[in-house]
Amino acid sequence: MEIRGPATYYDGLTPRMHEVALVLGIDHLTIRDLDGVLVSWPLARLMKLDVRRSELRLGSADQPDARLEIRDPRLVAELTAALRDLPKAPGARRSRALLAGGLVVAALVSVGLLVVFGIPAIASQLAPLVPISWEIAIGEEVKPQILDILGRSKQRGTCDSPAGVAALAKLSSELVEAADPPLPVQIAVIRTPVPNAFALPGGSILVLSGLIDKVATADELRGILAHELGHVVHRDAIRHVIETAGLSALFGLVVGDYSGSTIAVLTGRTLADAGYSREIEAAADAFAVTVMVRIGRNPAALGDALDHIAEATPHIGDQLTWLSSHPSTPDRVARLKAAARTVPPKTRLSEAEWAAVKAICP
Amino acid sequence: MPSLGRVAFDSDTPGVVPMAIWGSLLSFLTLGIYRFWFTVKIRRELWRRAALAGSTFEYTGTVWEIVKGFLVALVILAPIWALYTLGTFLLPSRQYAGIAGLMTFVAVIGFVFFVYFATYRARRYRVSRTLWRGVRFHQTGSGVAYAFMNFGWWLLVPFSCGVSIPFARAQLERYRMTNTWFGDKRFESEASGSAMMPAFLLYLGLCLGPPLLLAILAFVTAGGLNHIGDQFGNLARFFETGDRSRGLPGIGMAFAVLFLGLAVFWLVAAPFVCWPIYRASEWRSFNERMSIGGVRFRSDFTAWELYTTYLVFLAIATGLMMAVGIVSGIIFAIALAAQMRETSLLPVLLIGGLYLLVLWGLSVARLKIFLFDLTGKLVRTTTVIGLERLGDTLSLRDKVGALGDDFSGGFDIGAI
Repeated sequence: MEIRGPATYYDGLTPRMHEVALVLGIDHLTIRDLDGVLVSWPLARLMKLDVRRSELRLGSADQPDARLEIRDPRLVAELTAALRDLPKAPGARRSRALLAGGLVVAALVSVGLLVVFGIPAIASQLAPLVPISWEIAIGEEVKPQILDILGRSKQRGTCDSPAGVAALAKLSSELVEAADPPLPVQIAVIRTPVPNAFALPGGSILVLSGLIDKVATADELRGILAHELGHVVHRDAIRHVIETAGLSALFGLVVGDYSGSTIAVLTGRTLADAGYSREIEAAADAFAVTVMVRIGRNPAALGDALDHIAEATPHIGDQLTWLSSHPSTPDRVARLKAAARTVPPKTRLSEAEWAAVKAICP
Repeated sequence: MPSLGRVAFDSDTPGVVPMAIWGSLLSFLTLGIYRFWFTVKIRRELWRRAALAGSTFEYTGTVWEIVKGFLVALVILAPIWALYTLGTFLLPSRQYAGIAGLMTFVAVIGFVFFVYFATYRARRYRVSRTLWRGVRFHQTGSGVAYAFMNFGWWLLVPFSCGVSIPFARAQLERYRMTNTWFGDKRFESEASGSAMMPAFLLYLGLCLGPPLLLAILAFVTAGGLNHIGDQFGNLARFFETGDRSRGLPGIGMAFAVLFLGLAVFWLVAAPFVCWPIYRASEWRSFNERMSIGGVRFRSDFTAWELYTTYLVFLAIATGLMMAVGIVSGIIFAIALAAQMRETSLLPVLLIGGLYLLVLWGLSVARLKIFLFDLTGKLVRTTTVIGLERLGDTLSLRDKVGALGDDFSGGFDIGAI
């Protein structure tokens, strides 16, 4: 049963409009005008370019820019029905959908792989290559942002009572010497009730006064400092900066921002989070154990510190405490407590000196 | 007698807003991956709604071509971002401030260069995927040259106090149009900067005139230069010592400050507010000076049509943001009344969700109002004179671009 009707034909070579009659046969669509057959399109090569109620536009894979436009409503309806089983373009239907689906899956998978493996790996490779002076400079850029986030509503300030600073220096100097970091380490105490400590890029370690309040003994503080020194020695902070920059660049890409502004915005904000992976934390723990043992202190003190922090902070948002990034899992604490001490401690902090550290914030 | 034909644009058929709503939602849900398909859909719809002499235009681009362009853009942009990020991080350090400044500067220049280059290439891509009556358009010319031209003109602006701008825009228009082809026929353009000078001077006058007048008025009401100095001295003395024996600045001074404030406000706002006046005039002029194979054009587009476009969008944006503000306030009030803990996540999530809704609404509005409706206005006011002269055009199926690229498909530089 043939379908016939009027249409407009463009041959794809000149803009001339041909008013034609089309005949839909079994395997060909024949286009003829008053002089005879203009062209005959095999149905296997037919392309449905635009299918609407008011208009049907067809093409052929054999004639790239040629078009057949059908505007007659009755003919449009008949042809649409007749050609319903034909794919939009030769070989298009299943393979095109498959390709599209495949692309989406591939894209999601590669984004996922990049986030979980690729970017951390690149960051690990790049971190050791960053010159120390650059890392110090970056640390200077980052420190005010961290202080800003910490001291938003509280009285911000470095705690610097002279006796406290001296005692803290005495406590930490043997740690720093034993750790032998590649960066110059500066330890500062910031006044804020949150119990936490950060190792920033560039070697600065910020200890929050809330932590000083919560730890019971000097050894516990040593344990925490040793852990943070581990981050400094492993250059975890700068690696985190690179990772964050890479992730925010990826995020900007996915979302469609090409000015790179997403990087600038996100990198700063997420640095205070310092959510290192378990492997990095375990490495810092191991380093802490080594250093504590080296100076003759009880490595289990770090485990005790974790316990003290955990019991004391039910009312402060979890994401702010040291715990959020250093979960006190039983096996971690057990591991810490199992390490034994081999060498007698060299220096001792007197009662007065420990009291001075505790009171470092006036 | 050459024929006169209006270009038609179908704004009546519904479908744009639903397409925009679903498309942007899907793009968001698929982390942006769907936007390639979305872009193709929009372009096909936009092209199809424009018709000349009864024949609609057709967009023949594919999703894969846009993806390729996106990947190439990535490769070019990644080093630029890396340079910029490193530069901004090192900037505060005293030791590296110099190098960091240079890095940031080079990155910004590189980015701007890329934007100009990509704009030209994106136009080339879209032109070459445009079909009318079975014959393709295409574009020649070099994106790199175009970028350099833009840079050159920008350098000239401060030296010429802005007077070079009409000439810059005209020259770039000539470059674009004379590199645009329909089949084997080339567009010609006599776009002229000097022809635009009167309109541009009017624009400059509107932007600078009132502030100048207001400044003069401010001086007059303040009582002249010496008087101003005295009055400020008196005010300073009052704040320091409470001494008002020499008198305080009077009402004249207050008015002077008001006038100066208005002057500054005008200086900042007028270049944007008055720009449509110039732009519409320029559009008409460029259209009249454009021709192809003896076919000429005319445009009746007015600044008012551009203003109504912006006003409608502004109205919708304001309405959306007010609605969100009110709902946010209600949410806060409820949260407070229910005595929720400060760190409770629910109100924050709700408000975050509202914010996303606003962004969604704005992007739909932008698509409908600026892309479809404005294009409709531009197209409908265009008249084509002597279309039959194109009857002997021959199609050139040109191989466009080594990549068949489209940088702007997956890249938002504001051009679709």
